[in-house]
Amino acid sequence: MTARPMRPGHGRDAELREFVDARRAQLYRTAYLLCGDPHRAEDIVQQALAKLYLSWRRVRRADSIDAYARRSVVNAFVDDGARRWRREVVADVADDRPAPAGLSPEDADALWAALRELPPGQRRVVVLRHYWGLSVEETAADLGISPGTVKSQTAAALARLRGVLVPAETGGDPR
Amino acid sequence: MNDTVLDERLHALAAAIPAPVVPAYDDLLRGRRLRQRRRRAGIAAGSVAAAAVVVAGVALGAAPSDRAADPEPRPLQPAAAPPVPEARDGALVQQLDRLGGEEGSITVRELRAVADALVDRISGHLGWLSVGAAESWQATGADTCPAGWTCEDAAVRGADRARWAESGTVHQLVVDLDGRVSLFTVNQADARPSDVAWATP
Repeated sequence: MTARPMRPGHGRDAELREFVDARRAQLYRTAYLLCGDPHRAEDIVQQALAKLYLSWRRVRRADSIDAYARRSVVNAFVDDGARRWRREVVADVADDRPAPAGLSPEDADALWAALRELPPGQRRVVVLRHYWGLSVEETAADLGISPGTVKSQTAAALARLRGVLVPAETGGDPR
Repeated sequence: MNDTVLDERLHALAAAIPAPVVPAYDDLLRGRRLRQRRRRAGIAAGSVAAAAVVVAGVALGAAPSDRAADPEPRPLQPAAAPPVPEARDGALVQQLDRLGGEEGSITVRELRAVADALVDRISGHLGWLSVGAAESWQATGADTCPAGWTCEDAAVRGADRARWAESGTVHQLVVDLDGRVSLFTVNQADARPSDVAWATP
């Protein structure tokens, strides 16, 4: 008897493969923005996708694949990613990062540093709202917190980031 | 204003992050391995509990045996059905252990839900029981209902879908648990059924 070959278009595998092809890079970048560490970001994404595999049918039925994947990434980051981030030496990480297009290396470094200084709760709200473009309500649903908390964390994060964001745009005085 | 600037800058930062090229197949394999680890852990930790659940189910079905003296024929009479508990439950646990390393493995919690469904549905003697794992729902033929059989949807806790087929003393329950499809066949007569509605290829 020969081993049964895996059918290429079989249910969950084919669907998940399609999702991974479409979303993996974005999930990885989400994790990277959250934790600031490429290796940790990869670990987070692998964990999230393995969990997604387990829950695929339920998640797909609920039409919440993106939300589940985002939530898995954020939860994995919250679980133990914050501690790693705090231990990092900013210069070491920044040296490995390519310069973003349309952003000076100084501004990029300043933003990375400012993100690093945000408490994890504010950082995840910032990433979901401003990188994923989620609404207050969507972010609240993803994180399992109230819209009011999302609003207050967003406001607090923006207040902290103001010094990084405004001067470059106005060329000077933040207020 | 800050919102827009932050959007733009975060996207600029993110776009510059080189995402590693990882074959999707690797992620699928990790997911499968995680699933298998969880299944094995669940089955290893609960094989005794599994036996207990099934024995309990059989015991529930056998409870009216103290009415064996009733004038009407009773389907549950331990004296007339000695092979029921040990042999059948042992076979079930063996099958479950065997399934533990395969794609179609089933956890104790899931088995408990299936056992509840079987006991709720089938009153009286359970006779002969087999458990099989199928590659897919369609592979069992559960979307069809052969002539001579009565088929209907079933409710099993935690299952994505489940379906009954019945004909005479033979009952079949196919259960889709998060993509793992298991087929339970019960013959209230103490023999392998000569005909079934669905099968695992």
